[in-house]
Amino acid sequence: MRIFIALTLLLGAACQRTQVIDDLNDASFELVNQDSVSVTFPDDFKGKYVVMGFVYTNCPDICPLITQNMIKIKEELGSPDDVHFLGFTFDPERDTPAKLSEYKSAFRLDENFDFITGDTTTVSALMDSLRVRTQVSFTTTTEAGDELYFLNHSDKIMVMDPKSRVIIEYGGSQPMVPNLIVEDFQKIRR
Amino acid sequence: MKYSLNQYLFLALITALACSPDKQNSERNTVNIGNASIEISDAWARPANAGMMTAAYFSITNNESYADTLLSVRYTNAADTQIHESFEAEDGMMGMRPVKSVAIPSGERVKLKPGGIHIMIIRPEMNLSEGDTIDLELAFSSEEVRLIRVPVRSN
Ligand SMILES: [Cu+2]
Repeated sequence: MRIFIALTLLLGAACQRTQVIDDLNDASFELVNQDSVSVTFPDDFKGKYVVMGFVYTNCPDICPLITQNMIKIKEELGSPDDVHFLGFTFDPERDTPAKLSEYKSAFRLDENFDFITGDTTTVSALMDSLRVRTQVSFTTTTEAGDELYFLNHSDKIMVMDPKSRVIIEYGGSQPMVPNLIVEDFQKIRR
Repeated sequence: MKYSLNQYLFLALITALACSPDKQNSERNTVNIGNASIEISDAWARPANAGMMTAAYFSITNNESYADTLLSVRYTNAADTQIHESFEAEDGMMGMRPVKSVAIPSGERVKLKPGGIHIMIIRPEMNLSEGDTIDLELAFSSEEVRLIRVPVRSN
């Protein structure tokens, strides 16, 4: 059943992928990476392909699948210099650069892979322009007494071309997504 | 960049294969302490740094003639351990929700896996790195408490 749902989603995605999905040329977002280095998106990435995933670090199940799919894409492409990987958090209140740095180290990531956060206004404007939606789903109080919230969120991996145009978009956590994106890359860059 | 039906079927097949349980590897990775009517296999937990969030997964086989239920899971070195389930929420969003218990029908195997039911380990006290193990206490409706040793690995 899951497979059919996934395939239906992919069919839908495949049909709109021949055109530019979003043009971010006129956009500019002031953000920071996991090392607190400022990042201007998408300007800093002009001339490169950018594989973008959307996660929050308090998500232990779906978001690691998205991150792992991005890692798989990077490995299968052979980590080329002209492809940068960005994991954007949509939970900037908790996902500080320090938290993102921990997250990045848990996945043992190094070059060309950054996690991005920013102030809440900028991050939510960015998510709006990329059609990434979130919604608080439930809160829980741990045995230790801390209150925690969890989020429902869009499940997406996108590819932006060197001209800051989003040209590929898939469901982010599905297991076949790395193969599809790698295949698309081979066609685009041929 | 369109895909033919054949390519879709091929992808579906690959996905089905990738999702089927790997029986050879299962027993080796999990140390069962307790009686054998309930068998735990394929256990693993995802690496995470201290204070963050992670998940553990395993399969439960019920060899008894009666149904059983996983009531709770506990990892002592974390702020909390809860049973959750990922699901597709409205508007195509993904979410997760707490699960009260997991029914294990007689003679069946229930698989906890990424994108489905998972054991949420909230704020572990120390880094969980590849090669480490963690001990989980599983409480079933039929018996007291089951201890399992779970290896930490990426997938
Ligand atoms: Cu969870």
